[in-house]
Amino acid sequence: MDFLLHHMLRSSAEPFPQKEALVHGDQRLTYAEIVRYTEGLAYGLQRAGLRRGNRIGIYLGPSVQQVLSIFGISSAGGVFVPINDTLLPTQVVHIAKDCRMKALITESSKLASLLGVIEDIPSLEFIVILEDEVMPQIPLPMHSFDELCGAAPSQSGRDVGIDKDLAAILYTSGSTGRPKGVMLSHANIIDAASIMADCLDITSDERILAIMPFSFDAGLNQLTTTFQTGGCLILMNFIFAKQIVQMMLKERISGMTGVPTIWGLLAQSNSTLHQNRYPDLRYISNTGGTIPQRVLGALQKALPTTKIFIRYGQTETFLSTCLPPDELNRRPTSIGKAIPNTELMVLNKQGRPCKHGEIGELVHRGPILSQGYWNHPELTERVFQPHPFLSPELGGTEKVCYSGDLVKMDEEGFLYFVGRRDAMIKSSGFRISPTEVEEILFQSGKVQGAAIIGIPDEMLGQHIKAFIVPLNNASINPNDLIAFCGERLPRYMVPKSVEILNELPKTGNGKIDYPALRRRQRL
Amino acid sequence: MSLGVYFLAMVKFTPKIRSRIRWYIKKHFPLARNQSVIEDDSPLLTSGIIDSMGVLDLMTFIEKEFKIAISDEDLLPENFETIASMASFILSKKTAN
Repeated sequence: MDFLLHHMLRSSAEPFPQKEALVHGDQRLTYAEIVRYTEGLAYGLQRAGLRRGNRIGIYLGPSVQQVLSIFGISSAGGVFVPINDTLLPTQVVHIAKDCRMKALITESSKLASLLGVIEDIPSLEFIVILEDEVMPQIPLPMHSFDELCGAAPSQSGRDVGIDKDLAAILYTSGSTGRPKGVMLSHANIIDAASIMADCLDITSDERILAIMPFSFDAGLNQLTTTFQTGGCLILMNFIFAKQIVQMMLKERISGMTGVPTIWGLLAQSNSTLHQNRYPDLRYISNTGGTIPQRVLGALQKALPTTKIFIRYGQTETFLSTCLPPDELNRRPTSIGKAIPNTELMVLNKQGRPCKHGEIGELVHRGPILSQGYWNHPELTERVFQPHPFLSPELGGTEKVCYSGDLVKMDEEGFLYFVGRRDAMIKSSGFRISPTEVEEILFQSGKVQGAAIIGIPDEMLGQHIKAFIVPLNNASINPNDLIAFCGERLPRYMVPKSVEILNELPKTGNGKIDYPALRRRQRL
Repeated sequence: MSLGVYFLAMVKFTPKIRSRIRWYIKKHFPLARNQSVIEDDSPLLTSGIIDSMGVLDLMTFIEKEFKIAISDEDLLPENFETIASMASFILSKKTAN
């Protein structure tokens, strides 16, 4: 019986031990090899000090080691915390401190970037590092990744947990404050993989291209769906969209999931996507935002035999809706209907179900509802509330997730995304809380007021605009301020433009009036 | 163009092209600023200093600044991996025109 994340490896290795499971560049691993390395790593991690429930960070780019780490940590009874490799040291330290990380799996160049700040993570007890010529000197025990993987347990490891235990914490931003850790149980991840395999008709013949990081719920889900069904996952690093096209042809890719930014790049008029045919590409699926209709049209033209699935979800609930490909031309702007074994409600401000066409908040009920936010009980209570309509005899313990996303439903039950209920911004698939950027603007020491909003952007979904009130009417050069942010924030969080104001619009209770700023931009 | 003229052009323009690219990268890519020196042959793509969205901005800058058109065939990681490779790519585009 598969009830822990890593069980899916053994279940797929049994019928297909020699089947290709994972490809990265010229590395090709079978299921049997992945099981062997994962068990070695789990044993090695336990010997290095990992105990049940310990949080272990994975700070690596797309790589075989990244995948082995996810399953190795699970197998050892730990909780894996994937860290996006575009994050800067300040953000990495925030995540490590917030989840009280016990160990970090990383490579020497990334570890070198953390020198000087790694001492700020008191919970950190050891580092697992990929072999390299130059190893940074740090005051913590270091273990070689390959040596741990080569450890030979005398017998297959005994499971130390059950499916209610945490398997992963995914860090994502909300409408305020710094990134929060969304807690996923083993059951969450396994159920999400089964549901996704069902939605997309995934089989063991699949060759799936992973272009999204595993720190994104959809990226992680693509990995688990592939391994659960016995398919093959192809990892890649890319700079140019045409490298994706080359990989699709070379590895005879049958399916891939991406965010609108990727489709925008691939569908550009000069893209090599238009110069080839893709008989192997059975499906593509979009998540993380709305694809502009122009891009969708270009994709349909370039991929006439490929099914296009539109999905919607958020980290807190993994996945909520899917639009079947045969509905796409009839309702191209819809995000679809509830995925299997999931119930969705659209509730108005009074908490009552909306009429057809009425805008309300999407509320999600089902098995892949996450376990809430790590160490944020108040926020968890606000977002994960008791089901409002179950009969009181049931005891009121079942929680549903109030997504903060505004949607409407048509008469046939199809949903349409309208916008956010709060000030959260989404850019190239990343969620950004205004606070994270505003804090940095304040750190410049030149502003007395700062507020950021998202401006619609065909390629990025939204880009950031900052409104600034200078301190003591000093003169501020917007480019200097943007450069200041660029040194302290990952690229997707840096404002594209800055507007200087005499004062920021405020609401009755003195908070920044974000809707007024959006109206100012005619949004 | 004869080899001699190309060689002269290379000697004359390469340092200037390299310094303009270095200026742009230092200004727009935070990871580059955290390093005190980016050498002409420091890896920029494989090291993650420039990402896939950043490279689009960089190409727009190169097209405008050096008045060349970058075609799809030119989009090879080896043309953009280092400041030196970018400079020789730009020069070869300019002399080809």
